[in-house]
Amino acid sequence: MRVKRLLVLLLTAVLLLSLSACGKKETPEKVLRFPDTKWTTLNPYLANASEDMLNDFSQARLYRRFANEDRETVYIRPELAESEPQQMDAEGKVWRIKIRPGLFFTDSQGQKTDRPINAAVFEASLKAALDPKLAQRAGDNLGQYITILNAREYFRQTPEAPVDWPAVGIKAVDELTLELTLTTAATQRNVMQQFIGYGTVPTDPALFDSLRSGDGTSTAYGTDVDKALYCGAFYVTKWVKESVITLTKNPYYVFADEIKIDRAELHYVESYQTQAEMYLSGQLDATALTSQIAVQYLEREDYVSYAARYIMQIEINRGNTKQPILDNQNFKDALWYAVDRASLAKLVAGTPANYIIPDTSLADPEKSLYFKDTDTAKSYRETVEESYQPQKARELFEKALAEEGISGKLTLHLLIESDNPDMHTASLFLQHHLEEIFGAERFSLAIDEVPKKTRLANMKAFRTDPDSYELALSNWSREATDESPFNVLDVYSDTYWAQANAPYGNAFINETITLQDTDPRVKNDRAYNVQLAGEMEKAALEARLTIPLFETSFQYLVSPKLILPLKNPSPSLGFTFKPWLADLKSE
Amino acid sequence: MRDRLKKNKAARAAFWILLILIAMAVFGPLMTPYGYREQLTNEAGEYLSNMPPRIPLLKKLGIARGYAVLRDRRAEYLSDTERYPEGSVIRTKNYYQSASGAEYCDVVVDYYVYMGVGEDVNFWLGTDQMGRDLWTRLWRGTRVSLLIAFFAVAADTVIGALYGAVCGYFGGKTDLILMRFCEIVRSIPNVVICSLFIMLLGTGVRTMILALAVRGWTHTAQLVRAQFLRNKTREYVLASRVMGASDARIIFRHILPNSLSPLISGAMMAVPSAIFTEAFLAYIGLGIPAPEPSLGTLLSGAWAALELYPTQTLFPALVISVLLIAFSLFTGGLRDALDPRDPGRA
Repeated sequence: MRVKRLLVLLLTAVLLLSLSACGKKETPEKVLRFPDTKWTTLNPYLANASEDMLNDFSQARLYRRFANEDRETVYIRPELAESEPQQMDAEGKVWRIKIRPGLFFTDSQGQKTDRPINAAVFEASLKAALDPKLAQRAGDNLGQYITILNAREYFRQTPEAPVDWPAVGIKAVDELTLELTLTTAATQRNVMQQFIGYGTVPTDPALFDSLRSGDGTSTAYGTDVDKALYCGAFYVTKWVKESVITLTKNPYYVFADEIKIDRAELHYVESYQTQAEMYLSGQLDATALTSQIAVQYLEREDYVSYAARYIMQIEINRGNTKQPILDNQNFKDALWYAVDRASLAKLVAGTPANYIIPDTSLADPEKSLYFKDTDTAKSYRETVEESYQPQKARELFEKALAEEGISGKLTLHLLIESDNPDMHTASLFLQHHLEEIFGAERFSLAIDEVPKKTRLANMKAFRTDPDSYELALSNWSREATDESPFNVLDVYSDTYWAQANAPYGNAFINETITLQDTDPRVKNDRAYNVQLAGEMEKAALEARLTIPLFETSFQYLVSPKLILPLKNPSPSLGFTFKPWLADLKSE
Repeated sequence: MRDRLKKNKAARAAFWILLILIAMAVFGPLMTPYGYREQLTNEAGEYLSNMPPRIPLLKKLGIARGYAVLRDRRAEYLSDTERYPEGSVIRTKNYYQSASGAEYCDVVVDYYVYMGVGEDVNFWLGTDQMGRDLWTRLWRGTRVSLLIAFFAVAADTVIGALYGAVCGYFGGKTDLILMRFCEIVRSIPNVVICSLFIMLLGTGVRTMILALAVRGWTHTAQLVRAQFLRNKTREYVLASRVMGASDARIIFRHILPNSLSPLISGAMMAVPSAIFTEAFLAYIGLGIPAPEPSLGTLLSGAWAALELYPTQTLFPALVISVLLIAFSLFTGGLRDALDPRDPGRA
């Protein structure tokens, strides 16, 4: 009897417990599943454009752009900094940045570490970013908007002119104050813009140094989730190489209460078609499309397209000793006039480009004035129709052949990267059309498809091996945060830190580009910036330093349940603007 | 031998299929007015990209009519003749309303009318992304793949036969050293050798032939060596030697002709393997350079949009499959016919 009663009691308790559990309303976890490009590192200083989004999710900076309430415009907000930079002298050459108190790094387990984020950490981080032995990408980006005293010299130092760290204008003056000394005066906005870049992300000095190689020329920092610490809106919990990165909301992030998603998965899916299928079956919240696949989705409401901030172009290795015709001005002119950019752009769903400063480059962000719409740009840029003159191209080509003493057929090699659909399409187009215009009996174009790394290595190798390539397709990707048309031209100077893609050798550009370090007006006076950018672009186009082809567009399908910080993709900020600030509507 | 081969129905069928495929590889590209590298446009200069197949004879049967399904199109635009030229819409299906209330459907269009192409223009297997006729490219590609395979196998056979003959005939230290080298070459994976070769010499038909031959001869060498080891002690060889015949004469006039049966069947078996390897290399991006097609490059090019344009993958895949099966069946029949131990042999 007693056992029976006990059983009844037990059963009743179980029933009540299960009923109470049913009554509880659990908020479903919000998981953002986003497509991304391949990642190689979590080290913010080594990161390239492929790691931009990953860094944006997991690392905070001193300042960052956030969307205004209207969801149409953006503003710069102090993130790890407590307030805007303070000008400490009359000229605007000394600035102090106050850092928020009580900041600590989070580890890959989501635990708040005992590693603080303070002024000393920022000084050590900037020193690591500028480390001449490591020669990381972030090093040169530190001079984009302001010129920090001796920073560039420290990064690029030579045995003839060594620069020690104490001589660099970056100092922690107290626990929470970072002082910057500049060589040229800057505005408050310039200083904030400089510290938006991922190259200024703080890293824990102890961890960073412990992961350095013996000779100090490499670091294992960021090679795995537990070989990095995080201070952004999310921390990285799992990294399945070339597949998926899982990020979890960081409760210790300064604006943690503004983060609406609990978890994010960044998926790397090599095949765009598979990516689209994953999106259509609900496994991704957005998908990137190639122009070939996009044709099927153009009328869908979730289809989004915007300019990609880079221009596909033909690079000419004019120093090639085996093909001296590459340095022949008539040949370069012939190439310029032979490309039917309008037809090519249609094939790749891009915009025909006979310029090198992208359409998305802002001349004045406050007035939303794009460089292409300025009087400066309009004064020298040709129309697309004017840049396509097949007859003239043929005549110039024949003239060039005669000048070079070529009586037979000229065969040139075009280097492109495999796995790049736009490059593949453009190369086939060029092969067919150039042979048609110049005559198949006079010209042929051989396409050499190689992996991206090989293409870049071959292009950069022209310094040591002048014959490392003949022609190549390339595209420079501009950072979404870049607001200076002048900065676009730095890649065409022979002193570009990551090394130019071709022996441009343009004296005017080489000389003008140095003004960014010596003339404060380049950074402070927008009209002057635009004027110089225009003069340099004009010089580059006239000398045919490169043959621009088309401006690529990004095409996406975006789930209607995804509420992004900006209502519409902004040409200068892109669709992927802060997806970590997005929200997901419930099903 | 011919009688025994004739009796094997599968081998006979395979032989005829191979003949047809070889004939198509030769004459197929000549059957259309388009060149294999020609990028076709309509009168407005728009690329005729990814056109579906249209074959006038089959059109009446409802096959290869040149129709395509345009997915997720706004229903309100269907009457817009700028978007859908008159006569281009065949039917609509799968209507649905989006979250904003707009009506969508899938539209079946006559893609030739949709793209403003005349009735007289037909792409039997459709076109690719660059507007190139796929019929022309398919058979040109088959020709290239077959050429690569035949030349690679010919090189294999010549090098392998000579190498194997020397090893088997002379034996001793010569055999020991040469065969160890052969084993070393054989132990390196085929893809590695081919990749290194392509890296060194660049892509191209000649490189591909060399890359395939550089390791392929080892199998032939082992085969021929075994034959020589078996035959060199036979009476007819001893008799020839007693009569004062030179080594070269014994090798080329006596033993080698008696080793031809396995050599022929081995070579025939190597052809499909070479075709497959070429296709595989092309698929991983190490194929012959554009615009020259091969079965592998056609497959690898079509892969990027397999779901949207499946016929672009289907036809090269079909040809490669039929080629491999036909070669296998024919080789099987040939091997049986040449086998001296077969009880049915006369």
